[in-house]
Amino acid sequence: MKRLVNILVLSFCLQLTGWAQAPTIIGKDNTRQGPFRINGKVSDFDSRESLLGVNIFVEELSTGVVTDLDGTYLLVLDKGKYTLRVSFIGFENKRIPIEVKGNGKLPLRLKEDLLQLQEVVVFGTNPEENVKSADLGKSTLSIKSIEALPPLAGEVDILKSLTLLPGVTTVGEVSSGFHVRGGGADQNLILLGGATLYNPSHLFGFLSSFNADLISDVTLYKGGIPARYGGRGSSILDVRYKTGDLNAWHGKASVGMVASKLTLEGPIVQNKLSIIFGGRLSYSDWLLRTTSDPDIKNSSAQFYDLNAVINYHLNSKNKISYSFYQSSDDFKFSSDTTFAWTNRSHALRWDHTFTDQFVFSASLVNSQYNFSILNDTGINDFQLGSDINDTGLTLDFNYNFTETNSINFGGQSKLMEINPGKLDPTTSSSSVLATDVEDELGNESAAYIQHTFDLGKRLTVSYGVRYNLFRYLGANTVNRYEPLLPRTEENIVEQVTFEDGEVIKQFDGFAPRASLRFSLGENSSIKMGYNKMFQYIHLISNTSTIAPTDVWKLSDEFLDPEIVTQYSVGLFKNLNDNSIETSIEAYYKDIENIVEYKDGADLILNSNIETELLTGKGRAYGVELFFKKKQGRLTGWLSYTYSRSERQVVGPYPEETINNGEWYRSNFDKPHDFTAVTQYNISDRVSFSTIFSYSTGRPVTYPSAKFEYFGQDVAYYDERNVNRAPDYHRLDASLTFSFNARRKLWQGDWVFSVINLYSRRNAFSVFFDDIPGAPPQAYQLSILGAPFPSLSYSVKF
Amino acid sequence: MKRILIIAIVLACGGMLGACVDVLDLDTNREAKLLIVEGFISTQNGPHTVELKESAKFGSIFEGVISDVEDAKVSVRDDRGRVTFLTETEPGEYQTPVSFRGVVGSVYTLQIVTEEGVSYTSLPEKLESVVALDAVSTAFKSTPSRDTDGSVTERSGIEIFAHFSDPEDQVNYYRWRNSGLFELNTNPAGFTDRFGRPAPKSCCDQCWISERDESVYIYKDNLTNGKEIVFPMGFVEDDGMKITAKYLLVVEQHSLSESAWQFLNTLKGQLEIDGDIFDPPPATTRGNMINLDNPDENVIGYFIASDVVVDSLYLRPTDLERRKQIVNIPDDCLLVDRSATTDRPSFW
Repeated sequence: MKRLVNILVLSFCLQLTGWAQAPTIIGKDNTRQGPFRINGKVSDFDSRESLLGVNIFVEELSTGVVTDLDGTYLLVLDKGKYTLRVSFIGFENKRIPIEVKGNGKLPLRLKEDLLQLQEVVVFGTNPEENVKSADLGKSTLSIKSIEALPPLAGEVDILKSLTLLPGVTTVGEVSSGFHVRGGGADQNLILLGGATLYNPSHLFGFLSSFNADLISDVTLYKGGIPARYGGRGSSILDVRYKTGDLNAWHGKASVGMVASKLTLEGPIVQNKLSIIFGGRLSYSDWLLRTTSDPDIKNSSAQFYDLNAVINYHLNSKNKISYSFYQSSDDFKFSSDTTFAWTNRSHALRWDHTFTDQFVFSASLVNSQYNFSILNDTGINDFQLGSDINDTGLTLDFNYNFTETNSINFGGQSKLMEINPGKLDPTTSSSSVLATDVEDELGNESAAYIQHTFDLGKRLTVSYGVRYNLFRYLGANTVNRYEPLLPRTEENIVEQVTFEDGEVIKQFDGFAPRASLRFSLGENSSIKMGYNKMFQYIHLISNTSTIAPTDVWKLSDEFLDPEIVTQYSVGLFKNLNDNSIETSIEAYYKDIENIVEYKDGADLILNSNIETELLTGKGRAYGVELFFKKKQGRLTGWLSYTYSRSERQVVGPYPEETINNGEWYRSNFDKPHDFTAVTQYNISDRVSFSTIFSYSTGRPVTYPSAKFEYFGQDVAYYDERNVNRAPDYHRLDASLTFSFNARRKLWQGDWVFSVINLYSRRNAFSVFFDDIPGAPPQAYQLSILGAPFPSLSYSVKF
Repeated sequence: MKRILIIAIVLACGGMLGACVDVLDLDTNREAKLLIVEGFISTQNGPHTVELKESAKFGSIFEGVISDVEDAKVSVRDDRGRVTFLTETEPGEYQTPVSFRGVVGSVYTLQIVTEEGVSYTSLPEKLESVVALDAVSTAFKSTPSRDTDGSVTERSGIEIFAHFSDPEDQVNYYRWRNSGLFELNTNPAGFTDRFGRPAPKSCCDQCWISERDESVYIYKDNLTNGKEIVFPMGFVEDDGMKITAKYLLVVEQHSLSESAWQFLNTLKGQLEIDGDIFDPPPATTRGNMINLDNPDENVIGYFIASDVVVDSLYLRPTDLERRKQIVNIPDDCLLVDRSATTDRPSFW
């Protein structure tokens, strides 16, 4: 408390002196008139965290710049007096008079605006960025804007928030997989603090496993993906951590319906070394008890996640950070079968500044994921497990020739090890035979370069290339098949053994990236983008969404890398002094070597999995319309997407062809998708938010006939995904009471939310069954069938 | 895998989230008329039956009627050129002579010529041998289950396990088919007419009813090759009628070819679809039957040739840890089931 008073007093004084103060003089007297370079870092007054996306506006020139990922900015000004206006969402605005006499530095510190919570909430980036930068298909959500949305069971959910953006869809209400511009759920690279996450879900997708209290912002690249990213075909989701407060200890605690969270941060060494760590622990069993299904009543579910981030400011040129993450789920089903999965990652990063223009970072990351099923029923007890371990090194260089001319280059190498499945009997009486599918080893390396520059006032060009090299390595045994026959177990002619580290198969390729911006005026621009992506790891799943039982598989002799080529174009226009942002984007995507499965494929513990896999091609296209109001009491956005996603699989044999070789809809082809997000500030402390979503129902295969076998009616399917589930729509609402949180314990944030306000029963799936006592018919399963209210409370201290 | 599922649902009808299964009214205008073949021969004495039907529109029971395919010429040919003709004993049901028995190691094909003159044949199906059953054991099993109306009932009964030694030198595929015969006692003297007035019947208070378990029990030994295997391959539910006196369970252990196993496995998957996220996508149920004139025509069904070993045992009320209330039937025992008979089996 005392600290707070100090800060208030201090800042008050600073402001007073600020008004009285003469302009800050930058640079030594210089005979030249300029241009001069003024740079610096913008950080949080309290925590010294660098702030990304801070807008620095030169009033006299009506131009501005924005701080980059490291919180640094660069202004190029001629000699003279100026007034800088510094603004950032959630922070107090600042006006700084300066006098430029030469090149110089101007570090800036902004205070968090405690009394002005969530006034301007929508994304945490520069108001002009969407028109001024060459980025397209990129969305950044600040954690504040995610927190303002109605939460499910009191948990702020990053992945669910993403599905509100244009071009991002999900197949069901409770599923962790999401689809970006018609790509598969495994085509998204999810990075947390730089490390890959393989299954970011708790409770089988009911919640995502990110603890929002430690997250600073989330960036999704849907198109125009920079060359420094690669490895997945459709999108990159970059989730970045906060950095801990370098000055004082404080924390946040929250209590929700199914879990509680605690986060603490502070300096270990004042102004040098900070830590932020947090944990979340569940108590969701009561939710299971409310069911009428006896199997679920007797189940118990536990999950937790832990994060820790350490930042060490060695000196002004060097910074080292380390982050640790672990999330774990344990679902004991009916007290005798346990499903458990764990994600763990370490990321070590070194940032070095050679000169103001030349910065470098190196990061070493390790990610692990494992999944297991423990059967404890007393009959044939077993344990089934699979895991992934990947370790990678990235070196990244950034050289800024000028403010508008920069180059980014670097290299990456990653070793991936997958154990696709291991089965062990757990009792001596169990007749389960120990089985271990051979481990897979792969090395994915890349070198990249990207150059971004302005060509005149109107044109910004960014072009680059990423060279990928993937090697599938031994030790492994590879089957050879009869060349002219279908690839089945009977047609294996020999098995070839490869030594440890021996290269079994190698793929390489150039992935060009380009984007271009052309200004049509002060507030509008046209952008074009092209990107090609290679993907060497595939999710082998016979289910409709990401399930924990799914196994990942590397590209090998039988499975070529997925290659995704995307062309996109967009028109961006800001209205009303940048307070309203509008855009139209269109894209076309061509996907080669999509993984599909033979009918009735047997994927678990299959040593000859290539006998069950098929490859095909895909195409996706769409138009995304976006309208966002960023200021005022009422903020929010409207988005509408028209998109299609289709596939085609033609093999030499009928069993290797799907849908008679015709194009068919992918499982997540949902042409119309509309979202309306609003937030209304009733007063400074009370706000009301709603989300309304509508989308076309997802494709379903309806039977073309029924037949009788073994006395039961069975549905017969021929053409795939021809029909659709009923349309999806839902309204969520929440009411937030924010009190100045640093005074007394009971004064925190109260969030009351109702998900599915008007009780829509959306079809999670449609299936066909012959249940005794009813004719064989179609049924739909809905998971959220009633309004789901929840209350959560959080307090900062 | 089946059990994972419900988890994802997390909550069933009436739960906090109100998860629910609803009937979906949909209109499919598509209708495929396909030949359905359910063919089976074994090393046991005949008659063996091949059933021919035609598929119908999926929808309400009144819309599409699965019809029998009558007056076809059906024969089984072995790899030595011997042809056995089947005779139609009931509409769509074709039977081999009683004397027909399959031989281990022989290769059989099923041939069908429909009344319209369309010829179908099965791919050659080799009859593989099956190992003997070392034992059949039982255990009481009770699982709470949710009815379609959301109420919870306790399903209990006797689970059946096959014990056998899997041969080490090859991949084996197994299937089990169970049938039962039980004694039922009713109370015809307590019969009342439709106005509720006593109208005692004189017959019959005791009968024997036979039944067949149509569930698909199959097994592939890839994860247990060469071991002593104990596999749950049957369940007799205690419904207050079946296990009140004595229940004779006949267990057949069958060999299967790999492709027959695959067909049954796909069929089993389709029969078990219940809408959860772990469901397999709908699959086209292909079999081993083809139209000789038009190989692209889809034919549903499989002609299976199996070696069979048989075992039997009696289940008694004393095998049940907890017994369900005995159902009192105030009527003629023979009306309970079509298969009911008053002829006491000689071995009873």
